[in-house]
This record gives sequence, structure tokens and C-alpha cells, in this order.
Amino acid sequence: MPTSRARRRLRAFALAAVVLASASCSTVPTGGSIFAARDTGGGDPLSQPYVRILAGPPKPNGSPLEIVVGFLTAAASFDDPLRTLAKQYLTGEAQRTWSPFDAVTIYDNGKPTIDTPRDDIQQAHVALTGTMLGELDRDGHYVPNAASAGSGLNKGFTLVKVSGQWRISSAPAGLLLSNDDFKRAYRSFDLYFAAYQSVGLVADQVRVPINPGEGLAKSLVHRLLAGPTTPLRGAVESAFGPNVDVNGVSVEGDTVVVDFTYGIVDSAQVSGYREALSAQLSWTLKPLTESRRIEVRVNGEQFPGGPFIIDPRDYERFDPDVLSSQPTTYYLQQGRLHRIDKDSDSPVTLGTGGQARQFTHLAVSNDEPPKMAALEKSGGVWVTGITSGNQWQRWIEGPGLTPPSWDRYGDVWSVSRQGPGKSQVIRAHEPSRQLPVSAPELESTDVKAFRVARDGARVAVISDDGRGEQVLVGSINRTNWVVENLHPLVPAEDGQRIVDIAWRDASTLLVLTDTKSDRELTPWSVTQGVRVETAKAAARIESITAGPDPISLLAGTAEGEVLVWDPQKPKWSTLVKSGAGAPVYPLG
Amino acid sequence: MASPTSSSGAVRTASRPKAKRKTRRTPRQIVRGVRRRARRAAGRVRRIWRRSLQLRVVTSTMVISMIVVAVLGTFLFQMITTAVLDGRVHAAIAEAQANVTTVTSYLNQPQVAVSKQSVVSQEDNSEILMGAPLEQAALALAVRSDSRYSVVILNADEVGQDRGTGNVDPKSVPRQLRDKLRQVKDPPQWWQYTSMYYLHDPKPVPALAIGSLVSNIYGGDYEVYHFFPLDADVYTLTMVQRWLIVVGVALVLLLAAVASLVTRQVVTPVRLTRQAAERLAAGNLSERLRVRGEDDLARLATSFNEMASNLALKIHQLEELSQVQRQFVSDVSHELRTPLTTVRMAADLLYESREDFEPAASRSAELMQNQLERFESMLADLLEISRYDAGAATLDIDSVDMRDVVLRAVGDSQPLAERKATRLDLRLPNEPCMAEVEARRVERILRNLLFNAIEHGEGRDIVVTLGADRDAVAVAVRDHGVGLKPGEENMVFDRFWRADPSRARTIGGTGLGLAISREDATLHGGWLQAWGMHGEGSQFRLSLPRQAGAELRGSPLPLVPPEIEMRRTWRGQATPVLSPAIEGGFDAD
Repeated sequence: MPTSRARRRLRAFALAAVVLASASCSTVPTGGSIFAARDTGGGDPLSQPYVRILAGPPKPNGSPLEIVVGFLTAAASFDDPLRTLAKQYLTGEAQRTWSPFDAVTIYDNGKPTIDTPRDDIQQAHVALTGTMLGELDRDGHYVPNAASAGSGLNKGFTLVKVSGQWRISSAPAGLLLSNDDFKRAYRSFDLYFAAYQSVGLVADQVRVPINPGEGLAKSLVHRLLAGPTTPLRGAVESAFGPNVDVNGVSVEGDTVVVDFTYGIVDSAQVSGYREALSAQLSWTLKPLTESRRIEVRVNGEQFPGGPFIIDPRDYERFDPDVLSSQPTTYYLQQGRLHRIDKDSDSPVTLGTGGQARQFTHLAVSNDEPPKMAALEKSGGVWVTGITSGNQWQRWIEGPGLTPPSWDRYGDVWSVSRQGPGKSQVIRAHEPSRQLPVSAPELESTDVKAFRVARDGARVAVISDDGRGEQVLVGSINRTNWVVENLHPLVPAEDGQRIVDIAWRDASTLLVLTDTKSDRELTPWSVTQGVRVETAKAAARIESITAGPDPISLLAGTAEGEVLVWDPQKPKWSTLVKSGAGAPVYPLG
Repeated sequence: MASPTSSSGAVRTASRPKAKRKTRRTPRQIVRGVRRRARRAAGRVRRIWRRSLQLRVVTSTMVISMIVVAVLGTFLFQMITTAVLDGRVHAAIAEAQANVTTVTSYLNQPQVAVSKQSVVSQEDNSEILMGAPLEQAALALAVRSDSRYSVVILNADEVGQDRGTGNVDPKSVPRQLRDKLRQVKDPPQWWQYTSMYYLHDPKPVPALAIGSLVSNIYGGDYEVYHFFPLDADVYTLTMVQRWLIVVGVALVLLLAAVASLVTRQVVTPVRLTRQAAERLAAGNLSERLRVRGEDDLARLATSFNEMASNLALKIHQLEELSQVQRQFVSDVSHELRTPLTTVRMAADLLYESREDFEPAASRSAELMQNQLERFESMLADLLEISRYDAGAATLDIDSVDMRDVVLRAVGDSQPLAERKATRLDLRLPNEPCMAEVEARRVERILRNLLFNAIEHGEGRDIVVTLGADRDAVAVAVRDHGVGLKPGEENMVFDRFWRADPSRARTIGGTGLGLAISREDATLHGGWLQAWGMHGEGSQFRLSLPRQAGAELRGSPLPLVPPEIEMRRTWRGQATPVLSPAIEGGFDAD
């Protein structure tokens, strides 16, 4: 009996040992609690993947074609902003004259061809032919090639033999980049600048060159400090002073640290600028920092007087699109103001002074409560409040006024056609106190529509200078009260009529064009000067109003219908059957 | 110690003794001093090493565990390194293979004109549309790699077709790998460990380079190199290595501590036992060990205690036995005295009237008288010695001039010397030699020595020398008889010892004289020593401290006679037997 007990005890002990040993053997658990899978990947979170050209020195005994291709490749390589390697392809004389900073030309379908068939002579000509796409101006602003300037590219290179090797003795000024090179070497970013009186932000778009030695975020901040591009110059202001520079951008945990030189302290002391520069920085860096907080430091140390931390959520109200939630839609029906209720499809009649005036072309301000402006049939822009008891008051009068347009500062804008080919821009802030605004580029044209963007800085104009209707985009300099920097967005074409324009968001303008065959609605990027999407068919439509996504696009027809664009189907569906005037959203 | 500065010099130049010392110290002396110090330290270490069992056990445990931990750690680290890098290489090759497939499909797609009319909006950067197949492939790889690794695409045949993702520096491409890839096209993929470089950063990063060859139907082979940075793995392995070292060191220290603890548990009882044994050996028979538990050490303590008590018991028994014997001798002596007195009185009576007896009876009476005298003196000696044994002997000290004592003893021996025709040669100092002794006992010692010398002197001269110094006095009695055999120097003091058992006692010695003399000398705190050499005679030396109770450090006279010593020095050889006596004899010189 004792032996059997001892044996049993021994067996239990051996079993326990085996269990323990096997438990310690399985090192990877096969069960357990559930963890959130976050991206902990290394690398610079502010960076984006990019491809670099690995340029090399000239190929020994290379043919002229190879030398030219090598030069173009080396010039497209952004490892070195000074393009030292590319200069090795040039003769000594050409090295002095050629500079990568002169110009940036973007082409497509480039094809180098050699003119000189014989190799034994001492000079050769290579021509690069292709399609010219556009240019990058010195601000980093991409300017698409105007259709009128012709789209062909033909650049000539001259090569001579230097100690037995072909070298380029004359090259076109600046950089010649193929479309692929351009996409590879530059990233498109929106810069944000403070609108007049820092009431909001205005978007500006630039191409930031990738510099591997600097990092994308630093390049972007650097570019932001340099100020707005030409189309916005004068219309916006930067809260960063002229003597601010960036030392570096780094990530520390959940915070992005932007290190400036001491000038930032001076800039932040100007009243209202601290908030404005925070908004600028937070909005500009948003594509890279996402929802991280941003800390501003001065030469690596904490901002004097406490940490300067920017939480992006605090600056959402600076949205350059201005409209965020679904705004109320208004329209006029038989001289009365109606509102489209989101919940019920039936329009609600608002009580306003039902005078026997014929109002068309309603415009709604963004005030609370909103003000209404409309064009009276006999001429003049009349304004009323939305509450009952408010009366229509005439704010602007003049011959041939365009439909009124509100800006965010509470001004009503219109253009008076004072004769054929003679226009005057007028604004008014109070009843019967209209102020003329200088617009040198519009004075000798016929203006059909004048729409101030919701950010208050840009304007879009339908004008006809005799060559046909075109859409111009410019900016308002509110310091000198000038509408300036007007450049064509939609060029005039034969048989093309611009029916209506509407701002979708801060940088997109919807253009309703009518050609002989078709009527279509096209969104254009104001900042890039290109079509954003393909055109939508828009038969019967006479007027449009739009807002940033997800605000739906509305249109009015000549028959008094109100249509809404359903992006899912995608087609127009009817919202109001008949009798309605053009629907409008606030501003835009 | 290395600078034998004379004391007078030091006193004279007391103002700068240090400088003087410095100048007197030659480099050789310094070297010698250092060497001596090192030797002394080494000796100390060796002594500690030899004496401490604990130290030896702990050291050997440490050394062995260190070797084992080092071997195991190296092995383990190799295994981990291999496992980590193998996993990395497999994953990297699989990823590179997938990428190469992508590149191949991009490069070999039909080249249709994919040109769009304009640069379309670049709102979303991840959807950049590239035209050329190579650009599409490179961008696809760049997006896919996303800073986890870098890709370099090279084309040796066409200009301007080299691409890289991220910040990789094209000099990272190892030349050997490139040559191998271009020479051996099957398999079209090779890899090696290398160092990769980034732009604007001269620091190399350990990396895994995988080169693949992508053939292109439109001409020119593309080489695609993947660089997987291994800095994370290197960091992991460094951490693993650091932890292995820390754990190894901790393990070794732990083992040493365990060994130290275990040996301490064993060594402490052993040390206690040793100390107890030492005390036991020193005579403390009541020494016992404390017994704790039932283990081997406890049993050792029990055995030790048993041994000690047995020993004490035996010693006690022996002491008792010896006590009984001494008492017996003493009692016998006393008991014999009373009848002996009676016998003596009767014998005296017979002796005095011996003239009246016939010659034979007269001779018997004389014989009986002689033997009775001897018996009496023997009894007296026995009583005397039993007093010593009982510890009852006491000294009656008086300051005396040793010359008088010697003269009295010589005077007592004179009749016997004349009878033996032996001349006694006295060598006494001129001034008095005062010593605190009991004159009677010293006289008895000297008498004994003289009688002994006369008896064994064979009629030759006997030299009696008295010597003295500050602390001690000594008397040496030298005869020129047969001398002593080796080993007999101490036996002469044994009770009833006889040099030649066949020889008769001529002067009626009791055989206890020298034993009593030695007891007397010991009682004075002095020495009684003998020297003898066969054929050279013998010498007995009595050394006594001048002050009673003072410890005797040396003797003013040599034990070996000077002429013998000189002869031996000439021969250049020492008599090994004598060396202890010589050492003792010349201690005072």
C-alpha cells in the first residue's frame, strides 16, 4: 500500500512537470485579448513615398542623343536643387549661362531627334519635340498652357565635341520636364492665407518640389512663408512676417513640432495674427499632419510665454469653403421668397413685403438672419431682411446691372453695363450708398455675371471683350479696392456661350456652357486652371448654385423647375415642379 | 627598510630626512622593494587561498559557471541571430519576388499611348498617374515600400532609366552583387548582407540587398535592387545580447552566492569543530560542541563530543592511577621508615660491636650498615621525589653567592675525589655571583653532578666552571670519561636509569639523583642539561635565573665544551644530534 501511494504521487509529479514544460514551450499565445491595430510603421510620417531619378554623369563616348537624354534626366533629378550633375553635360560656356531656376516647362510625348545624320563633324543639333503642357512660374504656381499659344513644343540643343566627348553648348533656358518628371518631382499642395481682416482663410495652390535633404513638410512650410502666388497677391495676407524662417519639422509622438526662427515671436505679437498664423499652419499642414496637434517652437525651444500648441479642431471655422452643413436654399416665386425645407418637399413661404415689384436673380448673404438681395426688373439691386417687417431697400442703382452677389463681409456686388464694352464694378454695404470699385481689366468689356467667392478674395466673371464670352478669375484687393489679377479660366471659343457660373467651394467654379450641340456643366479648378471632372449633361438648365461636398448641386430651368443632382445615379431629379425662380445658396 | 639610514645621520639632518631618503634610494632598491612587496602580497593571497576552503569553492564555482554561461550564451545568441535574420531574409525575398513580378508586368505591358491631354488635378497624392511603364512600376514600388525598404532600379543599357525610391543613395548597390547578377542570369535573383546609405547621411546602415534581373521585351534588362534596412534587427539583437550578458553575469553571481552559502553552512561547523579540537588539545577537556539537527555535521559534533568525553575520562583515570601509585610510593616509603629505624638501631648496635664478632660476621655487619645507609638514602630520595610528584616541594629562597655554594659542594665531593684520585679543577669568577636560590637544593644538585662525574670520570680531571651574566648564572661540570651515547642526554635524567646495566654502583648512587636534581632545577625555573660524546666525556650544565621567578632566556655557559665545538667547526660538520642543545646553549651569546 505505501509503495502504490508513492508511485501515484510520483506519477502526479511527473504529469505536473510535463504540463509545465509544455506550457513553457508554447511561446506564442494562441488566444487572449484583442488589441487595436495601429500603424506603427517607421519612417517619417510627414513624408510621402516618392521616386527619385538616379542621374549619372555623362556616358563616356555617348552619342549626342544619349547626352541630351542624360541631360534631361539629370535636370529632372531633384537630388540637388542646383543641378550640379546636369551641368556636367554642358560645355563650360553653357554652364555659366544655363540655370535651373530660369523657368520650368512641362511637356508630354517628348521625342528627341537628331538633325545631323553624320557623326564625324564637330557640331550636332538635337531637337526635342512634343506637346507643351504648361509652365511653373516662380511662385510654384502651375500655369497651364493657354490654348491660343499653341501646344507644340520644339526645343533645340546644340552639341559640340569637348576633348572627344559630345557636350551641350546651348540648351533651352531652365528645366524641361516631361509630364512624368513633373509629377515625380513636385507635389501639389494647398497653401492657406488669411483673408482680409483675418476673417477666414483663402486657399492657394502650389507645386512644392521634393527635396530629399529637407523633407516635404519643411519644404511646404518654407513655401507657405514665401507668401501667396501671383493671382492672390494683394487680396490675401500672410500672418507670418517677412523675417520668419523654418528650421525644421519633426514628429514627437502625437504632436508635430514646427521649429521657426525668432521672427515668429514678432509675427505672433501682432493682434489677431497669432490665431491667423495658427489657422494658416494648421490648414496648410493638414494633408501631412492629419489630426495631429502642432507645436510651434522657436529655435528648438518652447515658445516664450508658454507652449504654443495648435489643435486643428480649433481652427475648423476658418474653412475657406465657408459653408459646411447643408444650408437653406431659397428661391423666388412670383415675387415672393421661398425656402426649400430639407425635411418636407413643400416650399415654405416667407412673409416679406409683398410689393408689386418684379424681383429676379436672388442672392443670399451669410448673415444671421440672412439678407436677401435681388435684381429689380426696372433696374437696381434691392435688399431685404428675412424677418417679417423688413422692407426691400434699394442699395445699388445703375444701368444694366448684373445679378447681385454677396461677399462674406456683408457687401453686395454688381457690375453696371454703362454702354457697349464699358462696365463699372459697384459695391454697397448700406442702402443707397454704392461705391465704385476699380477693375481695369473689366472696364472695356461686357460683363454678364460677377460672382464673389465665399472666401471673399476671389471673383469669377463672365465677360466678353469682343472675342466671345469667357470666364475670368481674379481677386479683390480690399486695401486699395481694386479687382485685379484677372486671368482667363474658360477661354472663349467659337459658338460657345457661358450661361451661368457658381462657386462650388473655395477653389472650384462650376461653369455652365452652351455650345451649338450641347449644354454642359463643368467644374473648373480655379487654382490649377484645369477641369476637375468631366462635364455633366445639363440640358434645359438656366441657372446653378452649389456648395462644397456634400452639399447637393441645384439647378433651375427656364420652365421654373428646381432640379437636384443625384451623384449616385447619376442624373438630375426634380425638387420643385414649376413656377420657381433660380435656387440659391448663401454667398457664392 | 630598504634604506639603512644611520640613526646619527637621521638625527643630524632631521630637517630634511625625506630628501635624504629619496636620494639614497636607487632604482634597484625601488625595484627590489616593489618585488618584495609583491612577493609578500602574493604570499598573503596564497596563504588566504590555502587556508579558506570557502574561497576555493566559490572561486572554482565562479570559474566553471562563467565558462558554462559564456559557452551557452554564445550558442544561444548565435541561434537567436540566425533565427531573426533567417526570418527577415525569407520575408524580404518573398516581398522582393512579389515586387519583381509587379515590375515585370508593368514593363512588359503593351505600350499604348496613355497620354492624357492635361495634367489632371492632383488632389489626392496617392493617385498620381504616371505615363511611362517604368515610372508606373517605380511609383508602385515606392508606395508599396513606404519607407520599410528602398528599391533601386538600374538599366545599364539605356540612359536615364535609373530610378530609386525614397532617400536611398545609389552607391548602396554592392559591386559584387551587381557583377554576379549580370554575369549569372540563372537564377535571376541574388542577395547578400551589405551596408546601405541614404542621401545626406554618411552613416552606413546594415542592410539586406536583394538584386533581381527583370528582362524587358522592349529592350534592355532592368536590375531591381531591394534594400531592407536591418537596423531594427540589429537593435533587437543588441538588446538580446545585452540582456544575455546581464542574465549571464547575474547567473554567475547567483551561483557564486549559492556556493558561498552552501560552503558556509559546511565550513562554519567544521571551523567550530577545529577550534574546539584546538582547545581540547590545549588541555580544556570540558570543551564540547553544540549539536544541531541530525545531519552529517551534527553526527560529527556528536562523535567529537563522545571522543572528548572518552578522552577526558581516560585521562582522569590515568591521573587517578598515577596519583594512587605516587601515594603508594610515598606511603611505602613512610611505612618502611619505621621498621627501618628499628632495623637501623639494631644494625648500629651490631656495627658498633663488630670488633667482638668473628670476621665473617663483622664483615656482614659492615655490609648491612652500608646497605642500610644506602637504603635510607634511597628512601629519603624516594620521599623527596614523591614530594615533587605530589607538588608539595617548596623553595626557601635566599640570596647567596654561587661561588660559596660551588665551593661547599666541591668540598663535600673532595673525599670521594681523592679516593678516586681525581683532580677537581675549579674555574670561578673573581667577583661574587649573587643569585636568589635555595642554597641547599643547589648544593644537592652540584653534589649529585660532581659525584656522577667522579664516578664516571675514570680518574681524569673534572672541570667545574661557574659563569654568570646579567640575568642568569650557570655551573658546568665536565668530565672526561666514556661519555654518553647519542640519545642518552635526556635519558640520564630518568629515574633509576643506568648507562650500563652490568656496571655496579660503586659510590652507592640511588639512581634518583639526577632525577631529583632536574626537579630541583625546574623548581628554580632553571635548566639542567647534559651533553656527552662517546670517548669525549660529558658535561652537565645547570643554568639558573638570578632573580627568583624570572624566566630564563639563555645560559652564560655553552652546553658543548668550547674545545669540542672548535674542533667540530674546523671539520665543518655538525653533529645533528647536538644541534638543539647547541642552539639552546648559545642563545644568550
